[in-house]
Amino acid sequence: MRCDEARENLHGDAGRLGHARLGLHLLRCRACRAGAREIRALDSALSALPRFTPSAELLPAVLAQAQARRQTTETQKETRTMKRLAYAVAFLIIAGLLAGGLLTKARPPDGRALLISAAEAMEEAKTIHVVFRGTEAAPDSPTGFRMMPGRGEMWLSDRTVALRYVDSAGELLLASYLDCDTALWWVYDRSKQSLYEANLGAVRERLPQIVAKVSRRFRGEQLVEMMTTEYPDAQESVSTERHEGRLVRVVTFVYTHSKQPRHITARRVFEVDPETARLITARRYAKVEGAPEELIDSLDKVEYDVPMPPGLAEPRCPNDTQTIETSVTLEETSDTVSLVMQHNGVELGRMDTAKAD
Amino acid sequence: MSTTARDAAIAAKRLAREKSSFDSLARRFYAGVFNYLCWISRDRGLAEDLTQETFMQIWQHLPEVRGERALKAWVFRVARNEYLQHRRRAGLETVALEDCVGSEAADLTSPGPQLSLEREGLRRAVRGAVDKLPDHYREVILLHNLEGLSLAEIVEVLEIPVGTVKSRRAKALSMLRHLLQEEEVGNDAM
Repeated sequence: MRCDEARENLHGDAGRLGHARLGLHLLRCRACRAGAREIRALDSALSALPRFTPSAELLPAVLAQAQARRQTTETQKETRTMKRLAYAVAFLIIAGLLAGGLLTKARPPDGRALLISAAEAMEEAKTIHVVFRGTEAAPDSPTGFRMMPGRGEMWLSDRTVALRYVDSAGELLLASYLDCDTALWWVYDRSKQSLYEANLGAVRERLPQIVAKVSRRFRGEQLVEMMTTEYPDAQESVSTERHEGRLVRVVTFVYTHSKQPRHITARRVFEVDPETARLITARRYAKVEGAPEELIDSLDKVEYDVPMPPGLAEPRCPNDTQTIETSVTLEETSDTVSLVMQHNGVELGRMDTAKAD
Repeated sequence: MSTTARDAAIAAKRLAREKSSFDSLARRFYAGVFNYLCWISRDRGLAEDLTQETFMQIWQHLPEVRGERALKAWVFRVARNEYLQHRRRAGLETVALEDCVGSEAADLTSPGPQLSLEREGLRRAVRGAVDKLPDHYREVILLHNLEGLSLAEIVEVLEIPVGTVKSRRAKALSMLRHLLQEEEVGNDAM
């Protein structure tokens, strides 16, 4: 090792081999030994730097703020997430619509049981097609809720997860397609005028399991996960009403977002077919006292066991779209397996699945 | 238990784990983050505010973080970004570090009064010298010597090459040596 290398390695992170070589060099070189001693002395002096101790209130404040945020993120998260990940748009709306029902704790059993059955029916179907929409809040909306305005459709099966979301003028905003038969995943993002394509051949063997889990998460587990926000004061009511000529069970949950800057009352309404226990529609409303109630988002249609439409794999993007080849990596932690789409180090999409069943 | 009910239970457990992991992460890092922010902002009140903002960011993005190895670097990067954002918004205001330190530096809890005074003298000298370092050198010293980040972690926090981290540290130490020598000469002269 030369002296210049040794001086560089004196600042640490030389690795085990580098450290050993540095040790040998220091045995032979008096100047570098002196340099090493000096650095040790300075490091020792720096250990005398005072540490500033936070006030006793800081940690409780951090934890309390996070807890408060936990109760309000559900709606706020929507706007952020949709910018990052195409699937999230569909998922958040659907999950949000279903949320109040399944996991609201203070409720009589009827409505809850009805909605659990509805979620099971969604999980058990071979394919699911949902049509949903986000509404544009009025500029003077007192609730402050904002959804991406437009309409979306999602197709889910154990082999395919597909989404298309268009704005109120019908222009494609976001689209995504993940399929294990073709080992293809693409994401279209209008804000970037780009179609990102990834070949999943390298992870083909793991795909069936991953896609099935992703799909089921949208239909079941993750929907439920979104619903675990607790609204202890939720009031539940169940009624039977006529909808398009047939009787439906209507489950309603009303609860307040007391942690919001203003007192907001939210209402979630689910229509369930009493014979099949299948969910028909779901709507979410919000209201500030003294102002009219606003529709936040709506799941207008859920179809079960319908054939996947032909051409679903075609992006059908605008002409000015640039197609970019991207890479996908498989990330594993002790709990999760994730497919991560990246381009130039920027994460474009992520499909997380839990390792546990 | 039905599939959905089981899923709900799993989901609830996962959320509980997520909350618990945030709580433990906050407990583990909040004092270090506050200390770091206090040093770089030189404003105790601001450091408390920024610490809260930092953990709000962490709370929101925690599920996206993968890997324990990068966690510490990520936490400090978030803290630093919060500070930089604040600086951009408010314009840089420099306050003497002494105002931030207050009475904390006079914490004489050592075995004997003589040793205490010597340590206090050294502490003051080192603190003064570090405070005189240019920000980009000071940051490396604070992260490495005060918060115990490795050079690889500092690379992640500052988003600069490892060679730059090493050279900044070398220059910072060299400047510190001169500043401390000057301090020593000054003291001897008195």
